[in-house]
Amino acid sequence: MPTIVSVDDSTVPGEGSSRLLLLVSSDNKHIVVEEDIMSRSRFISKQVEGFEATSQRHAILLPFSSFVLNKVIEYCSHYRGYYLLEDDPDAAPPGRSPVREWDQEFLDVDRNMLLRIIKAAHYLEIKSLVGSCARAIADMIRGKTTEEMREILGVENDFTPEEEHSPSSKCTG
Amino acid sequence: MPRAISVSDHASHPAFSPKNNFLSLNTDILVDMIFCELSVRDILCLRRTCKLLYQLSHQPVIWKRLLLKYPIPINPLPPSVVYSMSSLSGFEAERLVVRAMGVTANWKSEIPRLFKAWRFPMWSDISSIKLVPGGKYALVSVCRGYQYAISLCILDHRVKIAYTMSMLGTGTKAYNIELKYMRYKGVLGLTLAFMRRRPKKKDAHVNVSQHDDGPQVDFPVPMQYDILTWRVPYDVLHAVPDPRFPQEEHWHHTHELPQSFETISCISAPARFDFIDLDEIDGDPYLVCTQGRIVMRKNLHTGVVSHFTCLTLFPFEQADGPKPYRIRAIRILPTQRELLIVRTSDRDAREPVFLELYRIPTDDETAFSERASPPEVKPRSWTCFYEGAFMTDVRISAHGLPIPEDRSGVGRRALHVEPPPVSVYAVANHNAAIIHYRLWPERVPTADVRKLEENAFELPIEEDLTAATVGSEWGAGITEDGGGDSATDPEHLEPSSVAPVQATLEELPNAATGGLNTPSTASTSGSKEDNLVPIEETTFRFQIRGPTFSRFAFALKPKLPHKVRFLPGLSRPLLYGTAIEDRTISLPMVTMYAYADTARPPSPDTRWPEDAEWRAQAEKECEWAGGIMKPRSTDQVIGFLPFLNKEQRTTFAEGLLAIDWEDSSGRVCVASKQEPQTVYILDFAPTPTEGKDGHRRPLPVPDVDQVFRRPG
Repeated sequence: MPTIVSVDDSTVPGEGSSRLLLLVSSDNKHIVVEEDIMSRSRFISKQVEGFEATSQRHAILLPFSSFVLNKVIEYCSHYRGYYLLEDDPDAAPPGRSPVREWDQEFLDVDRNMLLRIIKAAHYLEIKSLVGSCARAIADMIRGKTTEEMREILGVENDFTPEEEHSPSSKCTG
Repeated sequence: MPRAISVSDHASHPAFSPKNNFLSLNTDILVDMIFCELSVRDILCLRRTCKLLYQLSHQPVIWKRLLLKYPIPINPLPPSVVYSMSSLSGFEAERLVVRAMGVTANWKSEIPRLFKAWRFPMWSDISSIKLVPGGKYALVSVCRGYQYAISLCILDHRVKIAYTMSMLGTGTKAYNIELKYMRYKGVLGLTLAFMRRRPKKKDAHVNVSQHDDGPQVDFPVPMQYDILTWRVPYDVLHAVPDPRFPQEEHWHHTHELPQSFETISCISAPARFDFIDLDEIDGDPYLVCTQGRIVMRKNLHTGVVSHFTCLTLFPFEQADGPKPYRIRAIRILPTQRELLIVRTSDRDAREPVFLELYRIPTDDETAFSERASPPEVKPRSWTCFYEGAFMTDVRISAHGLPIPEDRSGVGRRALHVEPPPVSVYAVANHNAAIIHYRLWPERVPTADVRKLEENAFELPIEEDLTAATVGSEWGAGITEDGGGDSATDPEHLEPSSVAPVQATLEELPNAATGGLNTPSTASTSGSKEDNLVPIEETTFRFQIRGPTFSRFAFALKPKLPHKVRFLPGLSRPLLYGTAIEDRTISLPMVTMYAYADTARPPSPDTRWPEDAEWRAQAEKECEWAGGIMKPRSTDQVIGFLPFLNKEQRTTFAEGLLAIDWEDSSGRVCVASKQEPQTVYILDFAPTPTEGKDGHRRPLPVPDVDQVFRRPG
C-alpha cells in the first residue's frame, strides 16, 4: 500500500521551466515527471487543476505498474510540445487515427503489453495513444481468419454448436 | 491537508482486471476505435469469434462510418429524410455496404455466383418489370383479364418480404417504363413515365395490348399513343409498408394518406413514341421523348413543350431524300443540360454510328412550337465511328450523378464522389462483337460546366466526313488483328477460338469527331483561380470526344448461338441471351452473362486530390474481395452467370415475359411465360436478411470466406 506523499512546491526547480509531478505506480514505484510532459493526459490535467483549486500538490496514484507507466511517459515525452489533433477534444475527428511511424515502432510489443498500454492510455485519457494502440490491435487481426483472430485476441468461442451450425447460418449473410 | 486517494478506488477499473484479454477492454475502445479501423471483411470475421463481439459488431456507428467513407459505389436509397444517416439503422447501413462489396466482387469473379433465388406472386399476368434504383421497389405492368394496371411492389419488406403496395389502372398495357427520383413542385417523389397505345375510336373492338411493344405491329385501326407521367410521393412510399402498425391501424393509417399515384402529365400523338427519359435539370423535372427523328422535351413543372429535329446526316442522308438513320438510344445528361443520342443506319453496315450531344432548350428558348415539322437543330458535339457492322442492340447506361436534394445517408457520401462513366453498349453484327463507348466523368467547377455553350458552332460535317471515310479502315477495332482490308467483310468477324476474347483498341482509329472547339485541356491547364475551387463547388460533365472518351470493342468467340441483349444498369451491365427465333413475342431465355469493364479511368484531375485518394481506397477494398472471389483475367470481360436450377430453367424455356436488372443491388427480376403471375428474383449480391423484429438474421453469421468462396 503506497503512502500518500505530499510534494512540496519547493521542489519546483525554478521559474520558466515546468513544475514536477509525482506519479505512483501500482507496484509502489515513485516516478517524478515534468508536468508539461504529462499535460497530454486529460486525467492528469484535471488532477492538476484540482491541486490549484486546493493549493495542495500531492502524488497521483495510478493503477498500473511502473513498467507500463514508463512506457506511457516515454510516449508523452516524445510528443512533448506537439499538437496532436486527436487529443483536442473540440477538433478530434471521428474514425481512423493517422499513421505515425514512431508510434508503430513504439507499440511493437507483445499482446499483453499492448493491452496494458491501451488500458493505461484510456485511464489517463490520452486519445492519441489509445488510437495508435487500437490501430496496432487492428493491424494484428487484419486479414486473419476467425480462428486466428480468436487465438490472437485470446477470445473463447462461446457460441453453441447449434448456433454456429444452424441451418439459417447456411444462407448468405 | 492532502487529499486522500486510496488504491481501492481503482480496484474496479479494467486495468486491474485479472483477465487481461481483448474482451476486458472498454466497449468504447472496442467499438469506437478498433472496429472502426477494420474493413468489412475483418468485421464479418471478428463477429464470429464470440457472442460479445457478435453483439458489438452490430453497433450502428461502425457501419455508418464505413458507409460514409466506403469507396465503392453504394446503391441509392430513396432520397428522403426517412433514410437519413441519423435514422438509418445499423442493419440497413450494413446491408448497403455488404451488398456493394459483394456485387462488385461477384461481377468480376471467375465464376460469378447466384446468392439467392426467390419468387413472389403478383396474382395478375406480368407484361413488364422495372426495378427502382436501389432494388427496394419494383414497378410491374400487369393485366388481369382485360384490365391493365401498374403495380408498385416493395421487395425488402421486413415482415411480408415482397408484396404489392398499390396499383392503378392504365386502361391499356403500359410498356417502356422509365423512372427517376425527382422533385415535382418542391416535393420529392418517385416519378415514372410509360407508354401506352389505344385505338382512336373507343368502339374499335381491337385489343391492342395483346401485341408486341415493338414498332413492327401494323394495327388495322387508327391508333393513339400516349406517354403518361405519374408520381408517387415519398409519404406513400414510406408509410404504406411501415411494418410497425398492426393490421387494423395500418388500414386507417393508409386511408389518410394521399393517393399513391398522381398523374402529372399526359402526352398523346397519333404516331408511335420510341424512347423516354426523365431527369431533373436545374431544379425542374423534364421528360424527353423521341418520335422518329423528332425529339420532344417537356418541362413537367411549367408544362412547356418544345420539339426539335435531329440534324440530317449529310452525306449519308439527303435533305429531301431517304433518311436511313434511326435514333437507337437516348440519355439526359442533366449537369450539362444535354441529350446524348446514338444514331445508326439501317441501310448499310459501312455507314458510321453517330454519337451526338444536343442541347435541351430551356422554356425561354422554345419560341418554335411547330409540331408538324420542328426545325432541325445542330448537335453541340458529335462523334462518328466506322464500325462496319449492324447494331442489333444499343443501350446507354444510367448516369451516376447524385440525386438532387438527396437527404438519405447514401446521398451525403455520394455528393462529391466520382460517378462511373456513362456507357453506350452495342451488340454488333448479330452477336459477333460487342462495342462499348465510355464517357468518363470530367470534374469541372459548377460555374464552368456549360462554358462550352458560349462558343460559336461550326460543323464542317461534309468535308470532315468525306476525309474520314477515305482514311478509315472498315471494321477496324473489332477484330483482334486490328482491322485492315480483310475486315471489310462482316463475315470476317466469325469467331474461331473458344472463350470470349477481348481485342482492345483503346485509341480511336476510325473516328471522326466534330463540334465545339474548346478542348477540355484548356480548362484543365486552367488559370490559378481554378485551383481555388473547392470540391463542393464542382460537378461532372460527360464528353463524347477528348481524353475522357474511350472506345472498346471485342469479338465474341465463338459467336454466341443466341440473341444477346444488354440490360445496362449503372456500371455493371447484364447480358442475356434469348433464342434466335423471332416469331414469338416472348423468346425463351437461354443464358445470362456478367459484363465487367476492367478499364481504368483516365488519370484524375490533380486539382482535386480527393479523387485519386478515393480510387486508391476502392482498389484496396476490392483487393481482399478479389482474394476470396477469384477475379477473371482482365481479358475475360464476360463471365457466365449461373442461372436457376434445371427445373426452374425449364420454366424459362417457354418464353421470357419481362426482365430487369438493377446493378447497384445486384438484383434481377424476371417473369416467364409458363408462370406469368410469378416474379422471380435473382440476387447476385450477398444480402443479410432482417428478422420480423428488425434483428439481423441469421445468428451468428456464416464465415465470410465460405460465403464468398465459389461453390464446390
